[in-house]
Amino acid sequence: MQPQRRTIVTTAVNGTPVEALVDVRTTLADFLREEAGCTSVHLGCEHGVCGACTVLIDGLPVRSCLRLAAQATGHEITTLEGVMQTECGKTIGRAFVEQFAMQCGFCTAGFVLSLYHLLEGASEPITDRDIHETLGGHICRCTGYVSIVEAAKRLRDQRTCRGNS
Amino acid sequence: MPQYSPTTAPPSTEGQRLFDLQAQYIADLNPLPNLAHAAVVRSPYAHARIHRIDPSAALALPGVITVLTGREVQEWSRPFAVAAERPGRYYSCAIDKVRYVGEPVAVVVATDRYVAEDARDTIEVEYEPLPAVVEVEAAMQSSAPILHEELETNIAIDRQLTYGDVAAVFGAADIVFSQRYVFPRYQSFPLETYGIIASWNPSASQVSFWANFHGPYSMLAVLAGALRVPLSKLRVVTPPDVGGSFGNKIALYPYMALMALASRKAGRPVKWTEDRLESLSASSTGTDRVTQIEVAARNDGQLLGLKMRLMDNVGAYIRAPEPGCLFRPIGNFMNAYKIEHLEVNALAVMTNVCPSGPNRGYACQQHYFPIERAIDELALKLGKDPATVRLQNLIQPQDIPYRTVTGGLYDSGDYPRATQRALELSNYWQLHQSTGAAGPSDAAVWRGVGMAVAIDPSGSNMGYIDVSKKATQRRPNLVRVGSAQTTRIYLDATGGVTVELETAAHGQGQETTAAFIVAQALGIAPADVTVIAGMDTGSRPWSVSSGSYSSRFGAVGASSIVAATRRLQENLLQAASYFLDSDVSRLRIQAGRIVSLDNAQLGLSLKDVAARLHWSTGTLPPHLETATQVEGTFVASELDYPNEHDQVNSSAVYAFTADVAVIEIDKETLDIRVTDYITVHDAGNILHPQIARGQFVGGLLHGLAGALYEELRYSETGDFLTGTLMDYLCPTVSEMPDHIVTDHIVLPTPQALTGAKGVGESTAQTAPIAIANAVADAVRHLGLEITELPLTPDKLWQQLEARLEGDLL
Repeated sequence: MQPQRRTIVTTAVNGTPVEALVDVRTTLADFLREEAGCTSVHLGCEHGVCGACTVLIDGLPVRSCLRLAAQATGHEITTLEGVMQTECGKTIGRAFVEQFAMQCGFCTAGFVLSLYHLLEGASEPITDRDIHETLGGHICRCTGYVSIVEAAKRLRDQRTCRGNS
Repeated sequence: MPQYSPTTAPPSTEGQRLFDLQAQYIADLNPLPNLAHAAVVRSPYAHARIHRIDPSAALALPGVITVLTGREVQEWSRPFAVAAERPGRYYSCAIDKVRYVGEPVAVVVATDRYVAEDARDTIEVEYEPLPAVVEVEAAMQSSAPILHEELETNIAIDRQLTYGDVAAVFGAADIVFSQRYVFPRYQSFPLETYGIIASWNPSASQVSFWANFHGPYSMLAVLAGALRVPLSKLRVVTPPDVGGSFGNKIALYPYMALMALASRKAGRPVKWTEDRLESLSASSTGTDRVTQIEVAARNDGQLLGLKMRLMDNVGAYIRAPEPGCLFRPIGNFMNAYKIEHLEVNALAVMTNVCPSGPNRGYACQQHYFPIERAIDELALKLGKDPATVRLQNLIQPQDIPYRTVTGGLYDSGDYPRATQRALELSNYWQLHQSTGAAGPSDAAVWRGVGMAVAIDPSGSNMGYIDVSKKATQRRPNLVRVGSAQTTRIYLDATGGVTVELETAAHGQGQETTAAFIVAQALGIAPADVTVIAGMDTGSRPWSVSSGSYSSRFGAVGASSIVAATRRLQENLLQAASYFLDSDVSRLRIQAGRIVSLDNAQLGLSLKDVAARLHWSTGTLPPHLETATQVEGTFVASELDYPNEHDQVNSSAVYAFTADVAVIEIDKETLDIRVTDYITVHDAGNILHPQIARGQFVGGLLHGLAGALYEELRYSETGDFLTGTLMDYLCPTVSEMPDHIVTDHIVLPTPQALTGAKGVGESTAQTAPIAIANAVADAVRHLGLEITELPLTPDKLWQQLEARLEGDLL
């Protein structure tokens, strides 16, 4: 028997059903960029360290470079394109733009996805330590992180997002 | 509409585009039909002869279009030009020998990237491994393996530069000492890797590139030379969004050549996106350097002279814009000190590692590290505080404008004031009472405080590079001098203003700043100014010095925006004078209107003037016919060509930075943590406060990385050891100092229309040194010497162990 080379992926990306025939080895990141049109997903290291390609799978942050597209079948995926449809996402965007919490912008979507998960999901008040731990999974080479931490604290204090209420 | 207040800096235009989901990075672009995808076959050996390349298995794979090898590269291109006495023959691909791990050997072009990478692994290359050399001093030995046999040496450049009467001051000195310092090989590591789309289309008039290249555009002249076409036959488009560079992407051009040739062979456009292993092993890196420094001083702390032997490891091929690392800071070789006697032996040495190139703080990191470490050592030897010795030797405000002995012109600044400010903000004097051995013995940590100062040059003078040649060997008929930038501005028929950027930004917020500059001048909102980002050499004005490098936007790039804006203002006043039949000297531009000083009722909005200039062209006098389209060019003044004494004003302007770092070292684990970092700048006028601060803090991150974490390492045989982010440790938010203070004194430079000096590289130059000096302060009582970076717990441990063993013996 020949090994299966192609498979159908049936998933929902930012609330929209997506079905595509892909190589079994296609990474989730490439699938999202090439098949689902989510060019906010950026590849910085392709080995799961830098965090630029972070997306949410069923609400949890995941490095999309380490997953295969085939593993997305039956799951819901959220990228920056989806986050920006929400009020919380728009608030994050405003805070980042006003605080200059980005320079080249290549790492930004990953930071935002993890921060969105923290701000929307926290059941306890969000501490400075929570913010550091969340942002600590991402590499930014431009900002020195200070402005990102400031934006995150401002968002925590604004309480526009669901968590921490 | 809310009243626009020019004191409020606008939010990030570039960031807004990102959150509007409209960002365009190179990997997102598919600008041509029928794009094929490339993968690069790379050398697994540091040094080997290539006997045979067999691509037949790759060519048999479905989807593979072609394979390009060194044979065609040699036939279709020439070696890249470089300003070195003994350059190797450097092509975009290895021809008959590989000289570092990761060097391109062939390119596979296929219908998709996955297939191209499959095919890459099937190409058979027969190598004959050769002995390798990776350390710069080893490569200078006569017994060392020679990388480029025809040169019979690995030394590409060996220049002796002498300024003042060095022998006399060394003879008269009370104290003379020497030390060897090592600055490591590391890179700023832009999170977006190299990306190129190349189209060699015989039916088109130009070879076209889309690439995240950002200048200097002199590298396009090198590229054109290698491809054997005139510059006009190249078109390079840089997308609006580039995911960082820090100088690293200047070295993209050899890959642009390689992909152009791959496209030529494939007969269709080719896209290539580098991966992280390729980026770490074979893109570009800051130059690692060994310095032997000798200091002459008086017992009262007065510095008299320096002798420096600079040994740069430029990697397997000396690649333009190297040897910039040796000569870029020539005008500021003496940093901010009033020292008039200097001897420099500048050496560029080729070894079996990746070629080096510009990286944030280019050359100044490497150059100031030994000087600023040695000043701390001098202070220690004399029983003085390092801050006192620095203050004593700084150039004083009354000496400015100051011409350095190497030819630099420091036009503005107050170095003692900025330094005092950093010392105050950090509480330095009090802190220094309780560091190292003076700390409480029951504390879990040793504390240390250290400082560094730096002249921060920006807007490189192209001329400096010719110091790589002896005066007698320079070409008198090609005097490379200067730094220039052009900006175009258009006023449309509805009063809209469009600014076209020609600087190819990569994260510096230039669109935001450009809109802010023009809006302030016209009294309109920044949102009403349209900025065309990215770059296109096919349609926008540019010159060989164009681009974003050497921190040149604030002083040079933005000054060209000011120059263009002034022309537009002048045209608007002339037009209003004509339309209102009013004396131009009695008209002013205020809040988007041209108003009369004599009659409050008399005035025209920008929109009215624009409409009349566009719709009434048939009636306009000649001087208003092109009033809506202006071009402003800024050419930095006072830049000269190296004279027979090797003196040159190597940069357009010189900013100043004074930093203090406070660190703690865990007594059990020897873990080093920077707790406080204070950085004070004289960057002249600040064009946008948040953007400037972002540059200072970002520079600190890069400096911190080189001080404590990041190093591109090779084994003795040239194997590359740091190909992943598990080996190459990038600091995260957790490694940043707990307290960061940025502050300014503002002394505008008369050399720039903006009054601004550079901000981009500033703290990247000082942070490695201030942190090293602080670590030295913390561990001095243990007998540890800090002479190389990065400082890691294991390195401290090894020294401590050796010391303990020595004591036991």
